[in-house]
Amino acid sequence: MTILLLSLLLFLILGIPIAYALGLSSFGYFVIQHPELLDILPMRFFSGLNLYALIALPLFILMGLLMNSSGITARLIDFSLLFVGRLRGGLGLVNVMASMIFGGISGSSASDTASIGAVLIPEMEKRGYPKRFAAGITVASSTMGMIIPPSIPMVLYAIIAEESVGKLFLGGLIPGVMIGLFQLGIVLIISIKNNYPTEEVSLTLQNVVRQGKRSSVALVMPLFVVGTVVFGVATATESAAMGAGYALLVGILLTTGVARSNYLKKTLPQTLNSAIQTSAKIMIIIAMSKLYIWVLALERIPEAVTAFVVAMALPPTVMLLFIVLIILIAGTFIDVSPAIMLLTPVFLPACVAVGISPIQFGAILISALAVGAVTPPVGTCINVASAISGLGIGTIFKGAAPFLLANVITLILISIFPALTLWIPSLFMN
Amino acid sequence: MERRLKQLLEVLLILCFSGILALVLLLVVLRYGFNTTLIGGNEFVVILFVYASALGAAVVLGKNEHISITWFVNRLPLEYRKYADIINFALVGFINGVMLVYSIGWIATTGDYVSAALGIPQYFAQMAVPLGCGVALLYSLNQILLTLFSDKTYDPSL
Amino acid sequence: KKDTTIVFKYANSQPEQHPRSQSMQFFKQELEKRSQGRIQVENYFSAVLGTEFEVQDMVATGALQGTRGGGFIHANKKYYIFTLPFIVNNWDEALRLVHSDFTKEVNLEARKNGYHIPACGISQGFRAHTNNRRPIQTPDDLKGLKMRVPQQEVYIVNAQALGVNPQELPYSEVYMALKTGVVDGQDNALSNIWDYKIYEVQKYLSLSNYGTGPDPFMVNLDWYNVLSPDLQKLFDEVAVEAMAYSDQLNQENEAIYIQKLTEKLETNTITPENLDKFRKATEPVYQYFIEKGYFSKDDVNRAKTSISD
Ligand code: NA
Ligand code: NA
Repeated sequence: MTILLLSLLLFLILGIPIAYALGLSSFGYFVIQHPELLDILPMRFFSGLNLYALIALPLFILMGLLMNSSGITARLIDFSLLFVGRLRGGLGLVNVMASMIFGGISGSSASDTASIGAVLIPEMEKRGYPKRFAAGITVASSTMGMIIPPSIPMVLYAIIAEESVGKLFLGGLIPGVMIGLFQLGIVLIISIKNNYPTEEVSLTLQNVVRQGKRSSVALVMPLFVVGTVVFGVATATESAAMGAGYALLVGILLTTGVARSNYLKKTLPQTLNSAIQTSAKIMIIIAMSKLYIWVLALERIPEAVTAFVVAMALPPTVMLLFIVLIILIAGTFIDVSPAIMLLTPVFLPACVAVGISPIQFGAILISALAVGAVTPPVGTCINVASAISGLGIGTIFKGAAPFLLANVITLILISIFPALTLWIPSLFMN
Repeated sequence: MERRLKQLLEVLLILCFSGILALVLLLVVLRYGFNTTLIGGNEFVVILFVYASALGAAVVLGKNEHISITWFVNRLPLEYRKYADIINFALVGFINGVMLVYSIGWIATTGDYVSAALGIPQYFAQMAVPLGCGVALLYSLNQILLTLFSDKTYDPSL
Repeated sequence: KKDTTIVFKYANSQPEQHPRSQSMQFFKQELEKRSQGRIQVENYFSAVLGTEFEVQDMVATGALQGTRGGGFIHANKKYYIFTLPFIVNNWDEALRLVHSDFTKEVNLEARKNGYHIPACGISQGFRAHTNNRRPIQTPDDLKGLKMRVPQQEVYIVNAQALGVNPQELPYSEVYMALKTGVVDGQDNALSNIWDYKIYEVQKYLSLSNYGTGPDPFMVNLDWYNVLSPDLQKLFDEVAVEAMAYSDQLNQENEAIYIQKLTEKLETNTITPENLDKFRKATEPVYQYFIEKGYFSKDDVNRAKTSISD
């Protein structure tokens, strides 16, 4: 076990790509501890690629890129600026607001990073924000994607915890919105301190109407993606494909003549190519981390941790805060879905034993793992942002750190006050 | 030769991804327009996705664009950086070779298991592992040769 | 390895409190006790080592030694007979089938594919339909409904025979799809309808006992062959007891689940004469698999005779 952790650290320091570092250290473990289990390597690798739910990933990346190349994004941002553009750090505020809205559409933080990041990181850079700030706020605000309902990870938790998905969704509402509001505040403070740009916005009726008209194709976009899910036309994965299809159609309609044939013959294949390669960078990490997680499960590390926590006999709130700390640490090494699968059976029994509601624990677990998704070395969102922005994950994390304060404060509050996660579910469901 | 391979792979990637997009959309259209579905449609989408990811990872390796923590190696003097790179590519090639070798036994034993919905042998999908890792191994070797014999100067900002 | 204890690594997808896992805990206790520690059983539940089909591969290559789950078709295609619509109509018949000489032969045939199967039970229990449109009384009520079907041939063919609009969705998307109305309904074992909270997003439950499935205890044959004859005998003995315990737990639970679900959903039981209409409508399913060569008409007849014995 120690071999596994230390060798991973060594390989990462050497600068070996994260995916292959995970693979190499797992290989080392098998050779030394279980040579008879080496067959597992290709099987686990394959299972990490063979994931239907993650098809939404390249599709949302594609949607973002197509929104950019077809000019949808620029129109959408111009429109959003009418509301917050005059404030300091207007585009940073737009970024957080977009994630709050997008969080209500998609069930995943990675797709939030992919689509909003592809649009806003280059735009913020263009308007003079440090790239680190732009990428940082993008990943930090994308944590809301899996906390604000709907949420793919919460469905997974509900199944393992045998709890109501509906109640869990509602339980995530207040924590999600709290994170968003805190982050808006932090953006404002940082922007005022650093004198980040405000945007020139003319608020005459004429201009508002003109911008509204120009952005109407863009405004239909989120409605289209949300609408297909809310009105039951499509699943989350299908809506990603429909979003990409819509952006493609708009690109075709907005161009004419030579520009259109260029769009179809050059831009489109290039965009498809770049989206699938970006997604492959992330998929290969997920595939290799499957090996690592398998070893943790085989060695029954989660069980050992439970026994340890229960033996300490702490008061519920203190225990919960202690568990939050462990989840945060675990979340930096394990990706969201596997972490839910590993940690739920570990900590939930201990929590239920001292009277903590599974709904509250679920909201805490998902909120804490959302932070893990944006921290190195293993974090899907931060990897997506790195692939999009070209920045190193350490740099992006430094940019995100101030905003993650909002997540940590929220985590502490929902651990101490159960009502924050239990009140809304109790209103709507007996 | 190397450029040909990259072009071929990128065409394959685009085809796989277009196939995914088209099939997912088609399944929605069939559900509402025609009250039916393509049996095994989702299973086929996932197979395309597995190939796109495995081959995509190899192409990305060829461009040396994988996500890594370069903070430490960036602080090495240039001549040591060269050796670090060679060691890294050797190790990356090695783990891909391991995957390739061990996938043979796995596919030989279970490749004829038929898939649940399409009813095709699962080696169709499994082959993505030796294929993707094989190409990745080639790219690693190529990168080692490039690093050894080229006088390319290192740009620390990369 | 010179070690005197032999390790039996086993994995399944269900959580620890599920009957399948509970019966494997029983298996572990009894086998370790009665073999005086010569065999050590390591159980892994909740899919921590992989999905059912991934774990099946691991047992095939010998990385793991045993599993129970949906990959049984790879041990012997004839297990598909147990999943046919109305092959059995109630628990009595189901238990007679799995204890019959016919089933023992099917178990033995799995050796050709590298599996030792000491015993076979019934997986979970009987499947039932739920949906948001109307109570299902006759096959006509199913016509045109958008129903989620598992990505497995038998359920797809079955759905087509009943005239529904089948939609394949992975498990993880079912709840949301039912909630938003992407699909109208689904069919599943009663325990799953309860455990996965499907009742929260459905209105009607229709009980027909139309189908169930086999639960063979699949063991890597090479591993088993290395055991001494007395350990082999002991292993099989405890396995038979564990599977009987599993069937008993499942049967008891099903009655409880029906009661709990009746409180949540508008429930109807399909009348015997309407059940005949379902039997007639699903006859093509039998033919489909016979033509595909999964089993012969004779196999089906022998399975049916074994029930009436
Ligand atoms: Na969400
Ligand atoms: Na954002």
